[in-house]
Amino acid sequence: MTDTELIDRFLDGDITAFNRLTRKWESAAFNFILRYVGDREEAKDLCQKTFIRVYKGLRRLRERDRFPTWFYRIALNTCRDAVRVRQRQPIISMDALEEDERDQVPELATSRLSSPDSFAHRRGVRELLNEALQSIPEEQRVVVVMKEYQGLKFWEIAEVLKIPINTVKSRMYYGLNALKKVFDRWNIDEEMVRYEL
Amino acid sequence: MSCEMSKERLIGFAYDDMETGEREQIESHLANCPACRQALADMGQTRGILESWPDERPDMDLVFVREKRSIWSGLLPEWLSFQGFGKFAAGMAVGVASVLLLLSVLHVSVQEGRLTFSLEPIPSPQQVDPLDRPVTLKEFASLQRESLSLVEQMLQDSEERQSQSFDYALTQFAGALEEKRNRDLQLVGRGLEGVELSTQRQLRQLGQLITMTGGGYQR
Repeated sequence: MTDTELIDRFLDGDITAFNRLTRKWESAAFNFILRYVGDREEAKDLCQKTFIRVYKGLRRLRERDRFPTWFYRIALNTCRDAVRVRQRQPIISMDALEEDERDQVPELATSRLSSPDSFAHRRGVRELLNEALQSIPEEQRVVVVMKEYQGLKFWEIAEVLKIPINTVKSRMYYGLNALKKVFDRWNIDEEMVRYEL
Repeated sequence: MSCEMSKERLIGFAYDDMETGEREQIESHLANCPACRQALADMGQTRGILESWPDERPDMDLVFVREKRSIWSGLLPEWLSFQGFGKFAAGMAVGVASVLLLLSVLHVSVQEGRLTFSLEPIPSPQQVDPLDRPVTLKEFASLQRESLSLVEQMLQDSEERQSQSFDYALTQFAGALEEKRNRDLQLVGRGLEGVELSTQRQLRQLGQLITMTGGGYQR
């Protein structure tokens, strides 16, 4: 059953249709949020909040065939709200990204690399990748996660973020570059990662 | 990048997410641009590393609306598990029960191939007083055997009770006898002690008297 059919049934009074919609999107939402915030327990919490927001707002969704875009926007806003609250990392303005921070090397990553080899081997691949993702600017991380892990098209990401598609591609490019620099400094390559796995 | 190829087009090529017709142009450019080929290879390597973090299981049980599942839902096939089947089954059960109740009240009789219904109460089976029935010799013998067996059982029980009672009385008597014997022995012991003390006292008095008498004689 498609998302649109489930939404229609839910809005027509079949309250259990929302459960099915939740089960269908639970994994995608959780993994997106997990890679955004980097903490499993917080990701669970934010995942629940996301679905509560979806539940409350589903009746206001006019274009039901665009549910995925709408859903990711809610998930992202939920994450951003949480990050603002906990104030653990600075929120970078969407407009400030374009030119100024393109070649910025993540300070968090470089500052912890007194011994890259031992650092890489001391921690699991999942923790390393999580650390790397958390170290790049938020705007780039969102795009990288949506594209690389959620498999969204560039135009879909542009819709979620309400920005031009070329901006999305640009952030993707700089995000990958930033990650490459982090991986280079940590001496992480594909071969090592596969060995660790 | 140092060439005219935009990063947006290159990233679109890397993800095979570009406009139609772009692929050929980018491929022809890549054939002559080592910098873009290197950038593409770097992206591929970074993506390869990122792919090594697979999706994780949420391990959550998000249920917003608790579904009401009938007890039949697990037993019946999917096509029967439609909403309202419970009502349908309940209706059928009530109907069947009504028919059975009606049949229990109606007196149904079949006479020469004709089925007739009537609202007569169902005749109850004829009650026969067992005292009016003559007892057969076999039954009498059986009753006697049962009586004899009961009497024997009663006698056996009585003997057992008497034996237990006698044992108990004997034990009580032996205990009382032992207690009385102990008490008597204690009394005899105390009497002997008194006699001994009295004898010692008399001996002392006698000794004093002899001493006094002997002393006077010497004077």
